[in-house]
Amino acid sequence: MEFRSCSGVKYWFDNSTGMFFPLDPILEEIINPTTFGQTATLNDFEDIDRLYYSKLAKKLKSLQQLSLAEKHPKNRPDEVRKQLMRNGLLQMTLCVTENCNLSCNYCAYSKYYEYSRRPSPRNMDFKVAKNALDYYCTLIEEGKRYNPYRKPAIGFYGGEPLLQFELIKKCISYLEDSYSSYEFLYSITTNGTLLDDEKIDFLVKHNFSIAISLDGPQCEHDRNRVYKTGNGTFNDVMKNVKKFMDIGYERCHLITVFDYKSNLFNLQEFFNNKTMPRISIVTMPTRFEGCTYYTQFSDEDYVNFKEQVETAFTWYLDHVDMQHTFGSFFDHLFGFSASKFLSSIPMFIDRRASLIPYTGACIPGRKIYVDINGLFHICEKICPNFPIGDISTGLNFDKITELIERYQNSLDLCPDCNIEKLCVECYCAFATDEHFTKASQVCNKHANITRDLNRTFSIAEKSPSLINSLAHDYYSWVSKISATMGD
Amino acid sequence: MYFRLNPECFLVEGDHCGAIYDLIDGHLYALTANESALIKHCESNGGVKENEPFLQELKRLCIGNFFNKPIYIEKIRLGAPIQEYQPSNPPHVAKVFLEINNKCKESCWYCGRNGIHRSLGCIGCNIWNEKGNNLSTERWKQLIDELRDLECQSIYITGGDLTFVWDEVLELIDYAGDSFRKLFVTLNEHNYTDLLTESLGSGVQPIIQVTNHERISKDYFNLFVIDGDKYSDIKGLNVDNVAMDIVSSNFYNLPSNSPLISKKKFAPVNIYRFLHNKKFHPCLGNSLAISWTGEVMPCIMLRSHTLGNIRNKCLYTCFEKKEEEIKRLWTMNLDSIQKCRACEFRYACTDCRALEEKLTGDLYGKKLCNYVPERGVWI
Repeated sequence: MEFRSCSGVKYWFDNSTGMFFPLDPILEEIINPTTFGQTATLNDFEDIDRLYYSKLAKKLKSLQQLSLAEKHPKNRPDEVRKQLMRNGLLQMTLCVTENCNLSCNYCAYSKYYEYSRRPSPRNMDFKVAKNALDYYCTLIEEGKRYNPYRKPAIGFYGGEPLLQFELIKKCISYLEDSYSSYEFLYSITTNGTLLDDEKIDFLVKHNFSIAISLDGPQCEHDRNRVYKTGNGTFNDVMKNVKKFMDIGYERCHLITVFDYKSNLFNLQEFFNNKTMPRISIVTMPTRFEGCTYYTQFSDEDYVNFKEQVETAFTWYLDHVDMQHTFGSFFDHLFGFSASKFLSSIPMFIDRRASLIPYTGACIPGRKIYVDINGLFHICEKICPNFPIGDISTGLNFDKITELIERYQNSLDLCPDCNIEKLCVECYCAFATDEHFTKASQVCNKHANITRDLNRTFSIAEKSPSLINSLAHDYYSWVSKISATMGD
Repeated sequence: MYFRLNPECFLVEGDHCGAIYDLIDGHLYALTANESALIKHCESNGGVKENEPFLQELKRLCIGNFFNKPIYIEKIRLGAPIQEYQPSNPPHVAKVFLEINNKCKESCWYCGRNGIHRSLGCIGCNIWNEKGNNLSTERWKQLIDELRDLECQSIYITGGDLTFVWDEVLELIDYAGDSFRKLFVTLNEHNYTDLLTESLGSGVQPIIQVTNHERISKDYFNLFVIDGDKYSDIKGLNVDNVAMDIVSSNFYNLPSNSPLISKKKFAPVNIYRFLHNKKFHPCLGNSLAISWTGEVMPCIMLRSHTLGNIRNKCLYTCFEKKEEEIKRLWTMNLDSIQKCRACEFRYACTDCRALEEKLTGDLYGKKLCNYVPERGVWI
């Protein structure tokens, strides 16, 4: 696939190898980029070009041969189990409640998401949590001979998980008493409104990785993140975030969501501030199958937003250099995003997805999300119609195998796609009530990916070393606060 | 005008000079200090003149090209970098040596029990002045199961004289089946016969240790043991099926063309070796050895660096308990060795930590190299 950077340089992405090549006029004339075959003679060129391009043609051929080496294993329950024992089971996330004290506009459990569950007052029983944790520890123990380096990780999720603080405390007390030889990694995702001193002390004492949702300055945050009364939550969240900053707790980080109404420069100014915790994720409300969140915006909103992004990107590009502090909002929006994009492209070999040759989907069981009833799901993001086991019978490897098969069958475009190695979509993008929508009905990636590549290579041209150091900096930090990468 | 190296060509800087590694052609180009500085400038998208003769020469060699505008070159790699940051990645076990016995009736002067220094003794046979009992065949079989679950790629079965336990060797090979990419078995010029090697089956590669170059077999891989002090180039040696094990009592009188200290140290450049050597020690990386008594070690020759004993425990317990130590040994790339860190050839070089430790008393020491990276000269 061809694309250009902002400076007008043309590049070629070769999907068979996962490599990028600058596409100069001579190369374009003499090489068929799909087959890497030589399409014209070099007789009319100067000696130096003739030498270079004839050798390059041979090199490109040998590169393509290099990419043919990997064999993909068969999708069978025993293979799925083996791969999960080795590379999966990275985290068990307990949905301790479906209840929430907020009513955020873009919530993934709101009316805008057709296939997701809705908020409810239901909570997880300790018995369910205990059975889930026992099963996870059994898997970890069994999996040691496949992966002795895996550290068991437990996440608490909701709703708002701190509404069930007593249950969280009980779970941790149980794990510490029953599995004292393990060093658990704990994490929680919270809206930040309920973090009183007792809860903060407890979370800090147990070295929790704490993800707090904060969408920017008050005018931005309170537009979407509101109590059920409609009142904004900014002041309460900021008061609590400050407590972590005051004690210098480094495992507290921020998840920031923006949409078409956001003022990106306000967000940049707000987060580019050393008194704030570091941002871990910047994202727009998810666009899973069945999402209608974006229908509320007018065409004008969209056009204005698009112009704003272009202005912000131009500003970022003008200010890219190695001197700036990592971690600003624009770093996440453009720099990290570009760097992460390049870092996730599997060149020649992709071991992780060997059972799943297309998209960025994991093998279900990489993480285990447990709902309040004790059903296991692929993750917290997917709609609840694709369980992969439960606390009574454990992971169902037959079901996982079948689910992979069904997912693969839905990916009708992928075998012929010339950018499939760049695809990071997963089950969530295709999952509906009971089936996966065909990729041909969902996928419109080409336009977005061309735009992402344009930005990525424009930043990289300005500062070749920055593009690598951004990803290194980000992932080194994330690997210290998180049990899983690339989710 | 701008000049950039191709995606498969890497500049590696030393303290004084630099080198370009072409991972497809397999060439290693030595650069002067000025040439290295110029390429560094180019790789940062610094402007250059198109008539610069050195850059034109690089273009003729298909190492890099001129561009009208600053461009970005995404360098060649294997897989996605994001995978390397995953905190719970399993250990990648590439090769494991199983030393299944410690008996021999020969008395070779270079044998490990004599404390003689060997440059490639790990793939040869040795016996040791150690007390203990052999692991049982059953335990070796369990270990093969454990290695299978760890997705180990290659197994080296070694001893001792393996003909003393030949039935056990065949039983273990049969048990391993086709679970591993490669299976090696060490024999030597005293005990090997065609009948023996044929009994190993087609999936197993014998390594024959010989001291007389006339006994080098064309059919098998040979470990050619040479007295280092008397080393001279041997004409007609096929490097594809012969590795040299240079043996000496002190390595003080090595001739300047010895493969241990001259440019012959360099292994052929390729993508796998280069990317491996950037992260790991060229030999110790992703490698383990299990002694005849069940001691787990980073290498057969590094016997004092024990990582636990698996006689009564599973191998994974060593990874659990010695995670940091195993990672330290495996990732001891040549950037960790003070002298090598200054050298631009460090990702193409071979290195034996066991030998260097014996010669310098320091696991991070370096004696065997005649290159002076601070000046960019061979002495």
